[in-house]
Amino acid sequence: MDDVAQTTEFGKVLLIGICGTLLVLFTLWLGKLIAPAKPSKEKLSTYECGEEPQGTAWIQFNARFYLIALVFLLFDVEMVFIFPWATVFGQPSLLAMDNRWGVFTLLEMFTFIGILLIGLVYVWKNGDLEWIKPKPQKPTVSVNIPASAYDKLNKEVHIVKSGGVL
Amino acid sequence: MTAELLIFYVLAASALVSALLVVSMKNLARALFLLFVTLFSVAGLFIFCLADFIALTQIMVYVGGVLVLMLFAFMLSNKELLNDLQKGLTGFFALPRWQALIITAGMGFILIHMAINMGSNLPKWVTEAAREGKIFTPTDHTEKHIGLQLMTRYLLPFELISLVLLMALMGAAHLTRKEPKP
Repeated sequence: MDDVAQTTEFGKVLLIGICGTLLVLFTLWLGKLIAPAKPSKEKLSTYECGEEPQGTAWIQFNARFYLIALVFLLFDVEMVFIFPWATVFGQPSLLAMDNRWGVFTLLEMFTFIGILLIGLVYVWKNGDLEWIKPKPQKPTVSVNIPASAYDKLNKEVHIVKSGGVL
Repeated sequence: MTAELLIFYVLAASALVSALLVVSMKNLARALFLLFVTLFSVAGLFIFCLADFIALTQIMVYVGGVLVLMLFAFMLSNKELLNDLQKGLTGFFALPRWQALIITAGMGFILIHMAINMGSNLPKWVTEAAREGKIFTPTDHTEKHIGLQLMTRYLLPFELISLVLLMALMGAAHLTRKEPKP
């Protein structure tokens, strides 16, 4: 890899990765160099929107996340199979050989994705993707005073000590 | 030493060290995050084997999907339950240790055996292909070959993959769904 022209595509990716890592490390080092460091107990505590942090950060998550991650994983595997297809689909040299190539590969990929879409419809219809919605409860009071009585009370003018009207 | 060799050794060393740390670390969350390093290094090693597609799959599926799933499973689980599970692993005569030892020794034996025997007498199809010059060079794109083969010769298996994935999706969704309360 002494010559840049000989670098493969993955070599370029590696070079970009190394440059990115070095740049981030350099910025962090620079921040450490110029920023004043006067730590206190409050500064070092975890920031939780102004609230005082309580307990550990390890809380039990909702099990719904797991199913969504599983569905994501299946479509991730599907995506991997699309990559090699994408490199040959619409390749000019192959299209020149047989002009049916483009339509044929496109239809095959539509079949591939279409079969998997049935799975998406299945999980959708079964309500696996639905989130647990909060159900706000309206507080009710069981007293026998009619609402009109409150309306009358609200319309009354109350005189307070200073002479103003409340 | 060339740059390629240096990169290879760095990748191999990081894969080995992080993998050893994963199994020896007490904190499960840290071990899972170290697995990212291991899998990335292994993906780099796959590129050195000229297996671009496998490297891509490794990053897409294992780093992007399976590890996230494992992290979710870890976060969904009860802390007390995990502590109880880890208690069973202590002690020299604990069963998991012996299982791990036997599996590791077996895999190590196979690898060393193959390395000794394959070095001198390669299979016939390998030597023939090498003589005829039908070998991959680092500038070749294996994804194009795989894409071409998937769309022509292995078209039916390719479409069957989607059926297998569909079955896996439905089965996984069915198994993870909460039972309706009777």
